Amino acid sequence: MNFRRAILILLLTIPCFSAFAEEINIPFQKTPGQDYLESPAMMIDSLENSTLSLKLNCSNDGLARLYWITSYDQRFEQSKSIWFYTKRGVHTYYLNIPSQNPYWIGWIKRLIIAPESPGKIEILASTVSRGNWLTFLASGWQEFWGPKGRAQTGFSINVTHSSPLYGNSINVYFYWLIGLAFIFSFVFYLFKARPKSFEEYLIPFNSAAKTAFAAILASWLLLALNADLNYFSLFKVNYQKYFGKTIDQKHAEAYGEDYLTFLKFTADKLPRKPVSFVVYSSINSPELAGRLFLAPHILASDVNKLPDYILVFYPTPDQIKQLRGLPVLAKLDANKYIVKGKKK
Amino acid sequence: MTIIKLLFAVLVPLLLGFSATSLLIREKIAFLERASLAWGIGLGLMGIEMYTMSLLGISLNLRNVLVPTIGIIGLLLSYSFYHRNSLSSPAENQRQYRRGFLELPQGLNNAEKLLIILIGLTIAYVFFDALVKPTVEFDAMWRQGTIAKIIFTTGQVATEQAKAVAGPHPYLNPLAQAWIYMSLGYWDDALGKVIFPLCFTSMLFIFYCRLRAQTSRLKALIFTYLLTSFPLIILHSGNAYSDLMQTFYYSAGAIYLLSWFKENKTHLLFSSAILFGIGNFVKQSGIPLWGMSVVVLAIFLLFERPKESWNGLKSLGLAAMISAPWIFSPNSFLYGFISSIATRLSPSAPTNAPLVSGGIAAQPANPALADLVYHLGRRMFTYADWQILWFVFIVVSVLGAKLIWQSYLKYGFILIVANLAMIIYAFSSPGTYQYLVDGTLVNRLMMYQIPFVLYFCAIIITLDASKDEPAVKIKGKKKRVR
Repeated sequence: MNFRRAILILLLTIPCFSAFAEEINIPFQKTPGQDYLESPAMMIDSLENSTLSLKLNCSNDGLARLYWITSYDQRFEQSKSIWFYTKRGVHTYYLNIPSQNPYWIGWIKRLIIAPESPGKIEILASTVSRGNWLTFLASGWQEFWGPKGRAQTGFSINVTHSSPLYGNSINVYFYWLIGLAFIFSFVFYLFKARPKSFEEYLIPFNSAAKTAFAAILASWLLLALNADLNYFSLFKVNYQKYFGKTIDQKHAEAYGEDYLTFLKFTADKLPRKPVSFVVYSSINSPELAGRLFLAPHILASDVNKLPDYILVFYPTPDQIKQLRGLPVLAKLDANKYIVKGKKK
Repeated sequence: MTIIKLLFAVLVPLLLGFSATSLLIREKIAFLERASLAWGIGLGLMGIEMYTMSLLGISLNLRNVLVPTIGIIGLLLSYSFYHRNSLSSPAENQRQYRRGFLELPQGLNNAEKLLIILIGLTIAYVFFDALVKPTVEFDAMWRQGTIAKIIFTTGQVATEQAKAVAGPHPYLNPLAQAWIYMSLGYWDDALGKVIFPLCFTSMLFIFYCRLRAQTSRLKALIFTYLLTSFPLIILHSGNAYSDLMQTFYYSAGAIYLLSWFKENKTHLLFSSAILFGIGNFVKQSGIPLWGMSVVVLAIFLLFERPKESWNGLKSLGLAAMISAPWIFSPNSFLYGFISSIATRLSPSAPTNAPLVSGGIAAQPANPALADLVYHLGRRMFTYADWQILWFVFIVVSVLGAKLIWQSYLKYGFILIVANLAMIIYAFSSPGTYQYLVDGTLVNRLMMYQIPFVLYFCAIIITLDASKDEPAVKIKGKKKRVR
């Protein structure tokens, strides 16, 4: 019995030997002044090196993204990237890249690992290799439980990705499962019933259809439980962020505390009757929260008018130039003030 | 105090809805279904009342909205009482009513208990998600949230900015949010979103109760749980977009319409009409969705139940009357559509379109049907939004083809396919095709009929599976579904 087990283990480990054949170390370096970690310039054959193994030491649970450039396309961009969760502490992550992204092709010239959540990431070891079935399984497992289909982004309002497995939607595997359940059960009932006329073929067909419906129900219930798990994760995020806070504190979380203070200052200083305004700022989409918070004051671009007031919040140098000569209505500090004006 | 004010804000439309349903539904239905219907109808009628008041130049504030609403509630209840409506129905109905109301806690098996817990947890999550965070999603901040705040602070709907921000979009969502702010006495965009989880919960209850009328409790619960498995619907139940409201009004309307095809009880047809009518006041898409259902109703009346044509006309009039303040207003989709046709038909009409010169790049050609179907198919089958619903719909349509085409279910099938065809048509122009490819709009458009598609599949699956077993047991007797 022990001999049999030993043979079995040996057979299972044979495919893993390839992993020891050729492993290329990649010494990632932190780029000065940037959050991301970058590999040196290199020439790696993507066919021979499909699996990236990363031993990371992370200060928090979070998200990170691996980018690469190839000999064909020398731009770091989202289409040539893989998104993955990172766990607090020291953990090893296996990324079988071509199974998750079709753009791992040609010669790979450089890699970048970019953290996408607060905290520190340290790379203790990193290699690329051909990988083996164990790393392939580990990669699939990580991918399925990864952020795609689970983490909420600004675009989730339009589309929710399904959890992927080796680059395919998990739904596809369930379609195959249901189809195979139907076929196998049809063959089984066919042999069992041994029909002689056409009408008798309906008996195994109906039985197979019932099996398929059972498979559908089981698959869907699993997907529903998977969705419940995602709701629970989102619940934890929102609970930490918003629960037990006043509406003011919630707005501060949503808009940023600094910006909320400025909006409240503005609401206090602007005239009572609705006036039109624009926002000059270097922050992203400042007018979105401004329009909602300051209503019924009117965002000038909504009604195609010149603004009565310009709200200035950390302006760009170009915006500062445009503001020259206009009288200041009220000032919160050097970077936050209201200007009277008719400029767009 | 805030909780009491919030409860008051919810109770007023609920009472309005209850008084309207007491007039509409003269027989006993499950309490959960009546309450859900009352919420949907009450909220819609209140929004339309507020909009009509604003058209008449009446400023919208708590007192001005509350007084006529209480008046309407009083009138409806008096009329119902005077005409001996459902509140004074025969004893058998009373027993059924109690059975419907007390049904859930009695004799549950473990699977049913588990399903109720899972459904309950999802409902709790949706309320949490809506109420814990302020409005943070783009459109909800940019359009509905801003208009709601303008209505609350100025007492007017059609201010210059509100009109500019709303464009051709109807006002039920911002009016409903503004009503919550009026009741609270201050602007709280987190609490203002309470209407959306209530719409979601009402949708679940209506779905369950209508399905329960045709199948066993366990099966109805399984499919209700599956209805909570669509992430996009759950996400939209916690934000202030109008899509969840549209899904609620359209799907509930379609479920009632299909129920009327089966059961021929007039209140089902009129409930459907009212929900479709209110749906016209939620999003622009309400009008074409309603139009499609009217076509299917007309076909049904022509081939199956010509004697009911008068009721069909009454339902059409009811929906039109409810949505009239909006559909005939200059901003509405219908008004714009008719105006554009009139402009095109008029030989002397000037055109605003710039003349195409050699220097302007040509518009891309209309996308091919195969491309449209490919992209739509990807959205339907490989994303988590609808899980495996569309696959199941195809399987059910193929395996249950005979059942569908020999019963009233074919009209449900036609309605679903017609809506899909409408989506393909909507994305067939070069201007809208991009929204199909990038996925910014298509799934939200598809969402409106998802609960109805699931309901349709559930009926066929449970009918087929219940061939050899009773669906409903009454006092030891077995009642067949078919």
